[in-house]
Amino acid sequence: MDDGGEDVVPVDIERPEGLRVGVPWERPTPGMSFAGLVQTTRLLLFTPTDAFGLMRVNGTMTAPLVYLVVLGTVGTFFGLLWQSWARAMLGSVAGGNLQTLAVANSYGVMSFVIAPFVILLMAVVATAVHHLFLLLLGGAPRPPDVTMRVVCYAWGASYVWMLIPACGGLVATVWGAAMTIAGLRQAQGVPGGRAAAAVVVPYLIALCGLLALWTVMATTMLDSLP
Amino acid sequence: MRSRSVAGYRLGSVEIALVGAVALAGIAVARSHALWRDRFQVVCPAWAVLGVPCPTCGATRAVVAVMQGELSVALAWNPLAALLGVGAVISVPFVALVLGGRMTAPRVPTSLGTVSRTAIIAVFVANWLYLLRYFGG
Repeated sequence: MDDGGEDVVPVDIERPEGLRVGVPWERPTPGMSFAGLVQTTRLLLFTPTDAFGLMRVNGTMTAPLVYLVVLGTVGTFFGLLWQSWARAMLGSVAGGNLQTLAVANSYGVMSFVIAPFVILLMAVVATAVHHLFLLLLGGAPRPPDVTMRVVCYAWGASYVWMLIPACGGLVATVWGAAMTIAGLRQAQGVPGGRAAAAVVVPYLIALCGLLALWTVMATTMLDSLP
Repeated sequence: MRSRSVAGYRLGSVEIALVGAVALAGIAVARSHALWRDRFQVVCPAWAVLGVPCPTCGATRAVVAVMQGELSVALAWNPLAALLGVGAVISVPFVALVLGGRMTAPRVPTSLGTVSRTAIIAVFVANWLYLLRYFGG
């Protein structure tokens, strides 16, 4: 039962496609190819409002999920590569041995193997959180799969920044959040303030969790030193 | 009694499957707690630095306790996280039923009523107040 003790008769809403022709990755040409990947990523990174204005809001979820997993896996590979490199540099400065470095790197390899699954599951959790906050802040006119498409493309494109050593993760996080805001505004058709709050408020709540994660990573890295 | 239409969408099978995957992954990670608990003993930075727990303080311990069948312990650590853990366990058979075509997928509304919104926020705030009292002392 909802507010006011009234009988609630659920109705399904038609999902209009409108003039959304899709980002290049979703179109028949170039489609899910390297050219499509590059064009879509460029479009998303530098003109996110246009990109999310073109993005399809119905149809199968294959294209956005594959986009996220492909770029997420590549980005994670580079992120782990820079971590390993930093660990080796720190070890050489502090006189670390190869065994501890090998153990730390084996964790990195395991992280890379499970990365596609973890990225996918994290995107589902993020979708649920952003959609819940949209509902709490006044409503989400389109279904949760539209929020998921936005998260997939925003996160996927932002993983490209992981190619930058040292600060890539931070840039990717901030850029990804900004793109998610632009995407929710365009795709869900909600005001910018609501879209921003739906993205920023969970980030603020999760900040402690992220700080805890960074503490774990820093502790693990220091533990690997002699 | 007056009837009122509430707009909403039924979740698709892909979304349902992904929800089930998240629940199963959460259960698997929590069940394997013994493997990583010694390595990842973390104190919440907000609690350590400010002496104030964050809204998610104790959530990991609560979910792990749920998976080990210690519901009262879980509720003590973080009641909301404990309920989420219980929800994850309960959701698995429902996901299987929906994917097997024996049950219709749940409907997600396009907006929430004032009462629903207030209730959700109140539950969240009450949980945090409990944590402030539980961890703050």
